[in-house]
Amino acid sequence: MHAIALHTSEFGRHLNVLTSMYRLRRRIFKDRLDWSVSISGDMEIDVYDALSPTYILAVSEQQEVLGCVRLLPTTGPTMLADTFGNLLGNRAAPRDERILESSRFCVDTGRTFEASRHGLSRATFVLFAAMIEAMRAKGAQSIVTVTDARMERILRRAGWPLERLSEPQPLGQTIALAGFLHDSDEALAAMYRQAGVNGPVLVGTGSERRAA
Amino acid sequence: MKLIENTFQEFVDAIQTAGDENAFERVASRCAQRLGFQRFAYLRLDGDRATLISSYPKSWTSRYFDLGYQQLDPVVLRAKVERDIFSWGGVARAPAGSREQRHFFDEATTFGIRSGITVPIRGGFGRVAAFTLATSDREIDSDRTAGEWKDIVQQVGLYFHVHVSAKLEAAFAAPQQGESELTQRERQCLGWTAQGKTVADIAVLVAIAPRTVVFHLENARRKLGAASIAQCVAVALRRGLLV
Repeated sequence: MHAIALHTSEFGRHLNVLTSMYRLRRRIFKDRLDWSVSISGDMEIDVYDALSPTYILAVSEQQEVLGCVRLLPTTGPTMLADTFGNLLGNRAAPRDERILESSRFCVDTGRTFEASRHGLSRATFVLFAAMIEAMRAKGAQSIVTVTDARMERILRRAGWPLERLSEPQPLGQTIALAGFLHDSDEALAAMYRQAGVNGPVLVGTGSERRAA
Repeated sequence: MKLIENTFQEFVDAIQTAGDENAFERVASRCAQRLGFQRFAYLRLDGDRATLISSYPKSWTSRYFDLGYQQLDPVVLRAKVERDIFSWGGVARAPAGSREQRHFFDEATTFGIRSGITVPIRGGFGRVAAFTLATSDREIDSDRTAGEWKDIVQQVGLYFHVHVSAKLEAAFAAPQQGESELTQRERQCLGWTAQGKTVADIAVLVAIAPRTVVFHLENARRKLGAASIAQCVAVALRRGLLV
């Protein structure tokens, strides 16, 4: 298992994993969580996907997509500012080159059987580690995200605690809250340990991997 | 990269930079042609409001809307209920259908629209859109709606839809702007509406005439560019204007 970062300029070359990701998102966010999202057939794509996001994907050696998350700069529109603004009360949403926003985090729990400590699948830790690596590669120091109480617990237990930006509030079927995830060596080391790897999980998507 | 992957990449790159309706039309038109179709059409239905971006002949599209053909167009009707990409025309054309519908297809044929592939899109909140690639060919190869072809056409349709939403439909409004846009009274009336109160209730709660409540709600609706009060409440909530 490893992770890749997909940018808009590489979509054509990685059409298979891209398609699998949109399918996974439909299964999770529409079929399971029943969010009000744009769908066609077996895929889910929303307006934030039109903002040149970077997708981080956890991929198996067979090139199956096991999990994904979407990263957007906070200098443009973000879900926190433009969709979940009411979570913040009167406070302004973060807008900073050193802050990214993550959204659509999900792991294909039906597929990843390699469960490790805390009952979490390895894909989750690989994704968390890849998020920190991607943040560093982009020169950012923090990720802001809208998440729920359950995910907040998972992050705390994993050793990457969320710094709350809002108090939890009911949102649809869940209890939502906004918070920061900061870059730190300890958090990254904790993710590597739990993912069962010694170093970076994010591999290049260019031709070097094809040749390997 | 294979041709089809190249075409998709070119489309993705081009649509990032499209800023107005004409640019969107050019990008999709080129992609359609690279995929072997002469025309494309994107139709979006927001309640009663229909938006069309297409490379269909203008004489056909204006006739289409003048005669309200979106009400009987079998492709649109099917896109409203179908979950998956589908092809139409040729032998796949349903022999049934009303006389008006058969006449409609005959008419479309005279404009060079004989068969095609349509990607049905469900937006949130009951919005529906359809992205169509059309040709004057008698029939669509069945492999065009399967495998990698299907994946690409489906993503082209969805990408077109979300880019139009992001850039032409003002999906993202600057929140500061929106907040100053609505007056205190407008926010109040919308806030109560969001709580399920009727105009009569709000009149009592805010101690103004029902007529004035309607006035404030209508102003708010207009300012947020909503088609109905219900949509206006949704937009206001989404933008965090009612906190």
